[in-house]
Amino acid sequence: MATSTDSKNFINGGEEDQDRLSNLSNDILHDIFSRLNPKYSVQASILGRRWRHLWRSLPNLNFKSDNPPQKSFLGFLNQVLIQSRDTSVDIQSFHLCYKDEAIPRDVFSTWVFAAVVRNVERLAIELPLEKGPVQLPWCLFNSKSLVNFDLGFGHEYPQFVLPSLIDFPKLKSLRLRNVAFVEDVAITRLVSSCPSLEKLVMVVGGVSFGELLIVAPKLEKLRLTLTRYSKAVEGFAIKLRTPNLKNFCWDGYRAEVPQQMPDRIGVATIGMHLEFHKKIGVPFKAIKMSEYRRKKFVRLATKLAEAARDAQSLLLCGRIVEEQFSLANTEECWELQMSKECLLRHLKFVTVEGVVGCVNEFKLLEFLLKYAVALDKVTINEKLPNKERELINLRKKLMEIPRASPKDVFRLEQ
Amino acid sequence: MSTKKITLLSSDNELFTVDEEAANQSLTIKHLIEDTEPENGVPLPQVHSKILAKVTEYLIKHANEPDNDAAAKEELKNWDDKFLEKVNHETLFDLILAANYLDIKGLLDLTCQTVADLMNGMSVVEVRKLFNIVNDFTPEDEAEVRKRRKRGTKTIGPSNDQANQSNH
Repeated sequence: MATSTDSKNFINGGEEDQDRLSNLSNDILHDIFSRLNPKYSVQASILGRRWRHLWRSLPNLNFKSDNPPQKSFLGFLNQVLIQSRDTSVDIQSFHLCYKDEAIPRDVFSTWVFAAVVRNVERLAIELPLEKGPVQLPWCLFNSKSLVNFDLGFGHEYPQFVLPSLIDFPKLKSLRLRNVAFVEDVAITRLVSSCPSLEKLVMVVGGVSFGELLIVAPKLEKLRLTLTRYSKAVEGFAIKLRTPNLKNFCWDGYRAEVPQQMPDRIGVATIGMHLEFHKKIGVPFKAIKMSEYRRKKFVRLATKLAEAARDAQSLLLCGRIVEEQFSLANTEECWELQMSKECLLRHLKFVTVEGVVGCVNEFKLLEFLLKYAVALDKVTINEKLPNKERELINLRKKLMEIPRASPKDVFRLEQ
Repeated sequence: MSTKKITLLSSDNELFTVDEEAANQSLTIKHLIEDTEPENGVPLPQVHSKILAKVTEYLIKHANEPDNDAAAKEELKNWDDKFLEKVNHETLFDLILAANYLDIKGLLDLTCQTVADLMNGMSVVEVRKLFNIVNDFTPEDEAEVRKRRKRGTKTIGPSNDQANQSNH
């Protein structure tokens, strides 16, 4: 039994006026310091001898520029990351969020290099970059330590240059936001070089997408967003060789939808972005869809239903709106699609965001209600003001639709 | 659902009983159970009952962490804040040591964050006072450290000659 009186081993409340903080082990102090604003962790070097060099060997570096930014922020970052760094201690994580002026590309590259040579495991950088292609140090693309890699740029969509050899043996999570690729095969090549990849998020521009092939045996979560800087050619297809995919989110600008949607996925999230113009002080106004887009929307909805065949939940975001929709025409399109036998056996949860009460929404919901036999809950979020009446009408109409599921499913949120 | 009970024995021989699921959040306890299958409770000779009571309170509350429920997460966060609200420094540091020894990641995160939150925004003098840290620098040393720190923050962009100067 423990009857030792060695008070040093006891976690039992020490004496008052003791310096408990300085007595903590380096590991714990590093942990605490990693949570400090870096400014204060460096300042702490003046606390006492125990503290003098701690900040030079922090395993987790977390930089976020203040608002308004401090003039010395970048110099300070260089000092902590490069100039004064204790080179014998690895960096586990390096997080940087900077939103002010554009960073020169070579400076950015130096930071990445400094982190990679210290065997960084989690690297997350978000900043605006000076114009031109991003050429990251090639050692990054052969990092044996990197597990999480998250890169986000401003609105410039810099081109992402890949070296000929890429090997990320440990990479589990890859997030690339606001980057451009020269061609779609570059994405395929990058993803194929990450055998451990479980999560992939990409917001890309710059490519003419013809066929996008994603090969990732361990991938569970995939979110792809094609921005307006990217182009999908007619007949565009996504092909997935991802046997473990559970969560797939496709967010194509202007409702571009791939001809071939992957099936057999647990959660289907399909975002349909239409083009919106925003004037200052004026609410969003939808541009009219062309005839082509109208038909395309119905196709898209059916594709979506096909994709959701084995899905349990469905999230529709973006506004599925067409104010000036000719009703007769729409009915025809929908009837045609609905006549196909299509049972959604597993679908339980449907969420529609940004409902405005238009025909297309109604039709889509009617379609889902008619065929989703296991439906449990439909959540409808309304975000636009002054649409209460339309919403009540929509709800009333929806209540009258024959439902395949016996449950009372509606939930309206504002 | 298994509701197997685990008994924990503090340094002053007090017994605490928690569900296995709660206890397993401590990797140290989990391994002790797996390795030794103790019959009369898991002995934790480094943790006093006063602290173990707090630790088990945390373990029980966090036994079923919500995954996707935003409201439940919020509730848990509020509970965490309250949990450490009235704790004095002594207990806080004891909890850090206990969380570290028992290998409870959530509790270590929470307690370390609390200390960091206390230090953020404070001057050196204030931090020294708050934690009873003795300034053991000679005045010359302290001037040197301050000077070095100031010099480093002036340069913008990586610069090699600065790097050489700062090396010891």
